[in-house]
Amino acid sequence: MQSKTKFFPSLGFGLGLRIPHYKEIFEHTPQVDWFEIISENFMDTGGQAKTNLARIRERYPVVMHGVALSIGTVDPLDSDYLKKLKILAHQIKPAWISDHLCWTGIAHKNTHDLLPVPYTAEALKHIVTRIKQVQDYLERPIALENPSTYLEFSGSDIPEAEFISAMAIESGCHLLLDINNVYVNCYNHGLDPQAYIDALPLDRVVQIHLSGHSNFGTHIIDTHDDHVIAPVWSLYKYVTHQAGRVLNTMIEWDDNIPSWDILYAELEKAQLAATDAKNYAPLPKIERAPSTLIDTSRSSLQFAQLRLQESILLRDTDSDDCGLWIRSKEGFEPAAQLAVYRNAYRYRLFDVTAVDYPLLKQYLGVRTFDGLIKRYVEQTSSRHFNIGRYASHLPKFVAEQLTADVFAYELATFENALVQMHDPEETVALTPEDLAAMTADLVMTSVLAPRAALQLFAFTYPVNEYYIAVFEMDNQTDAAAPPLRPEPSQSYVAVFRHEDVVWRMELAENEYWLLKKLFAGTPINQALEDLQAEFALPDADLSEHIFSWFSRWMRNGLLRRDT
Amino acid sequence: MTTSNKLASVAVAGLLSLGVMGASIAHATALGKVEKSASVHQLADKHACKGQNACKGQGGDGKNECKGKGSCATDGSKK
Repeated sequence: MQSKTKFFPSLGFGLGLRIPHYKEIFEHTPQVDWFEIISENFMDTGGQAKTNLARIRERYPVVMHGVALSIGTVDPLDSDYLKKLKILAHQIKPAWISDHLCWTGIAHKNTHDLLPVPYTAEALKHIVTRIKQVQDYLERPIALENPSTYLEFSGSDIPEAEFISAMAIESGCHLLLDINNVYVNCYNHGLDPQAYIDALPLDRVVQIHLSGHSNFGTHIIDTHDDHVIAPVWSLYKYVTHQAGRVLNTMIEWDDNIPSWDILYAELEKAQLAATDAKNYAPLPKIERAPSTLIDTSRSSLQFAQLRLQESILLRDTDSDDCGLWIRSKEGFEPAAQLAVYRNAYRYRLFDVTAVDYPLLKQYLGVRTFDGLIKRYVEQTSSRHFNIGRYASHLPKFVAEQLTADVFAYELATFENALVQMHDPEETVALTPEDLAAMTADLVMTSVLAPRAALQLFAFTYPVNEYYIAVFEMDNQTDAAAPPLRPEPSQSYVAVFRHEDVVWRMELAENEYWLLKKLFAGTPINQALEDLQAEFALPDADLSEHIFSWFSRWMRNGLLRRDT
Repeated sequence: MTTSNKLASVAVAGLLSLGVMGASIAHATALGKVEKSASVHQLADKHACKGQNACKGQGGDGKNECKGKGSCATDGSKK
């Protein structure tokens, strides 16, 4: 119990931290006991996201909740992921760290979904071993959440709640109990919610999730886009009553995100429900008959993961045999269960790609743009835990697909840089004081290094001018006619981030040339000699330019101090 | 002093000149103009643990044009 108190303190009632509420939080510091972050939104980026988190952390306890640990995959643990997770934990000192009982991909591909595992002895042993490895590496116990699921493998022969219970007891991990997920799974798979709760070791539950969902009649999807429904409140009261204590509880609301006041009112409902736990209403009855078919001939964890991932990623995969490895349910047949995951994969990757390219969408028009992104999703697998990197391959795809439209490629390249520029770690800028102690000769023979968040571009079209014209001067909306492609004209731009703001700096051709030369490692005096030889400019003109260029680079923090 | 050394001296003078971020905006010329990229590419929470049943904000008429476009043998997500 001592380790539980140390690693999982009692914090009270919290909320999921989401960008639309930052303004309210920063301006009014509302009374919330703690915030939960999605770890992956902060662990692979170095700019504004981290600064915002630091500001939150100064005022509130924070817990880290992950979506990409992929504890259940048969792939090796992702050491890069774990390293970044541990670094973030070191930086923000969360009250605890959690993730999900699930897997996200196999064969180094990532579906960015929380996929179900078959509940078998083989999977249990595999997952327990990996939880121990993760806890050893992080030097702290973790909590795992019961996932929402939309299919059951026919090879599963351990009831879900029993599997979760055994996982926690054998691995020493704790549980994040998502009560909405209990309701969703009981509805989708014909289980009894009370029996499910009763089978869990509630003494190992350290956090509760509550959220809304979408009921499609045949099944429920855990969309986090609405109020918590009455039966879930009943289940929450029942859990609190059975646990004999008020558990750390939070509201998740991730889509159709409401105003702060509405979200906060939902949290107050949770506080009231917890104090009224003994008066829980009769627990919801689920009408669907559970499927009892168990076929262990296809129960191997690797088979299940390969088959499911292949069926999700490959649109034309023949899934006629999915009834052999997915359990059939009344009104919710195997193909329909599979379709939930197949669709979710496409929706998710479409959204994260489209949101990064608003200019390209304006230029191409909605119909062409949507078609392009759909083809991109079908033909491009994600191979990194950070879904934010997925869209960065689009410019290359545009070049391959729209071979005659160089402007589209350059526009996509420019937009990608503006988005990705938020991610590099901040570097220390070179200052005049750093150079003051050096002799002029030493400075002249020095090599200048660029800051990490900087990219230089040479375009055959005036891409930056187009950007300004569309979004900052004309103030056009999505409804406006797509702007015309500009006439070809060489242009040069530096995109960089300074103090969390992304900037665009137009460059002269020879200024761009000199920066490229300097950043390739050429000493200042040699680079200037090469510049003179390349452009044959009069000394007087060149002197004026060079002073203004070097001065501007310095003022805008383009140069990095070597540490 | 050679020409290249003169230019290098000018470069050093530029490096040592004091200024603050954004000062170049006030003295903007056609080239060297520095502008923020604020309103267009905003930070977004790209990771979430929610289930997904539609694309957000896609399609010119506000409908989910990307929904179920041949992506599945059976679109079980529809009512």
